[in-house]
Amino acid sequence: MLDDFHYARAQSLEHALALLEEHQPRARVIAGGTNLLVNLRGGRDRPEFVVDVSRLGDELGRIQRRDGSLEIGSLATLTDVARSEVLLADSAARLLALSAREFANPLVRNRATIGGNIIDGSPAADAVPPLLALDARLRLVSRARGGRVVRLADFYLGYRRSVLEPDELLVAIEVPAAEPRTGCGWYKLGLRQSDAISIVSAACVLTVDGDERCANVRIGLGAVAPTVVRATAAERVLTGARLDEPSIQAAGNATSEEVRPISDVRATAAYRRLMSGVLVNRTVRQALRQATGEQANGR
Amino acid sequence: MDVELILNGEKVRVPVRRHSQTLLELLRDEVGQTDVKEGCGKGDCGACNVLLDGKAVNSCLVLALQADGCSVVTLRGLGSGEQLHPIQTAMIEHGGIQCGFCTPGMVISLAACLQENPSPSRAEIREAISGNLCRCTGYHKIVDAAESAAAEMRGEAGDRARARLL
Repeated sequence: MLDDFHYARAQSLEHALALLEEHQPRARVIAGGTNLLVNLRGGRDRPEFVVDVSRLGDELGRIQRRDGSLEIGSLATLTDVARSEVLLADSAARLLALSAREFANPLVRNRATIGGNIIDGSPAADAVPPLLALDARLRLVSRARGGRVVRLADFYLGYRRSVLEPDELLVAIEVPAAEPRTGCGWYKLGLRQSDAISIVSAACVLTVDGDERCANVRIGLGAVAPTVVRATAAERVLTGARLDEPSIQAAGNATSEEVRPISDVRATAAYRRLMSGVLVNRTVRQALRQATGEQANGR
Repeated sequence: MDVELILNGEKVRVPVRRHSQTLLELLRDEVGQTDVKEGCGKGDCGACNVLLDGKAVNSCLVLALQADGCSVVTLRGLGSGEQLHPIQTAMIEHGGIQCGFCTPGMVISLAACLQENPSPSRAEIREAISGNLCRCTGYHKIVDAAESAAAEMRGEAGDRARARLL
């Protein structure tokens, strides 16, 4: 039995923001509940007030393409994301849909929201490396100050800490539409094939230029630092370079040198260091294959 | 404080004792719906799986209040007693049940799978039950049962009466 709390169901975004403003900082938002209820059960969180936004999916759960970008509502479930034709049709954003297929398990995916995964802020959060690689922007709203846009790269301050104010709600995530000749790659390493906390995860978005050199690359790495991070050393090795065996290997090696993971119940730091290089290698290859050869859409 | 559910096709109004009461607790403690099992209470095992507005979810991770106005289908809503669902029959026939504790949640996941995909591959079946832990069977016979039930539900298994879908 969980400790009790006050509860209100938000009837609209405005209502949710009013409730957050009134009850901050002791309020928590519940959407899918797949993190919050686990934290409550484990005694890691004891909110006084819970604001339920789970019925705002019509307003905040859509995935759509507008002009040069794709917008994902924060209440889109991981199932919605995994199946989104809008995302799958974009040669970069499909990365998010592909990673969502391996997120937790189908029961959790039917409830967990992409916004919840971002806000929970685990360094192993599986939606975050793809979004970092996609250069995502977050739209945050409060009643007092209105809306603001924060780059995901600037969002986390440290382990499970972010710039989100107690009266703010994450309403949408925006990623730019893919450039031509762009591909993506995803690899999640876990102790089993489903329902696993990532030991290391890697997400890569790569654009090639006319000379088959790397015009642009972004790689997100999960579970190797207090927050999800970019594989900046690998990115430096690859940007502008010929995308051949030596350069990709060098990128992987640079990653292993750069990361400072911890040892925990799932893996040692040494294993994570080694695997981060392997995963960068694999995801860069995946992205390159897609960028240079195959069709962008389809599964 | 109460919630209204369409529970296995029937409209019911159920008292909610605490805001923090989960749908699992509500179903078992208030309604006596003990065909929903608590394995871990924190979304790791899938034993408490129900269909909430048609989607398979861990009922231990849903607040009872969040289910207000929703349709909830538990194992008994699929079949019981004299009227077993084809998945239940297949599970019995193929040895997909040992202790039985994971079985309600397993059947719910399979029902959701076959609802969406009447001809799943073995890999797709395994994917569909990837949120349901079984300590007894090793899963093979559960997958066998699912394939068999899928064939039955497609009308490919002979003279048996067509199964009631969800």
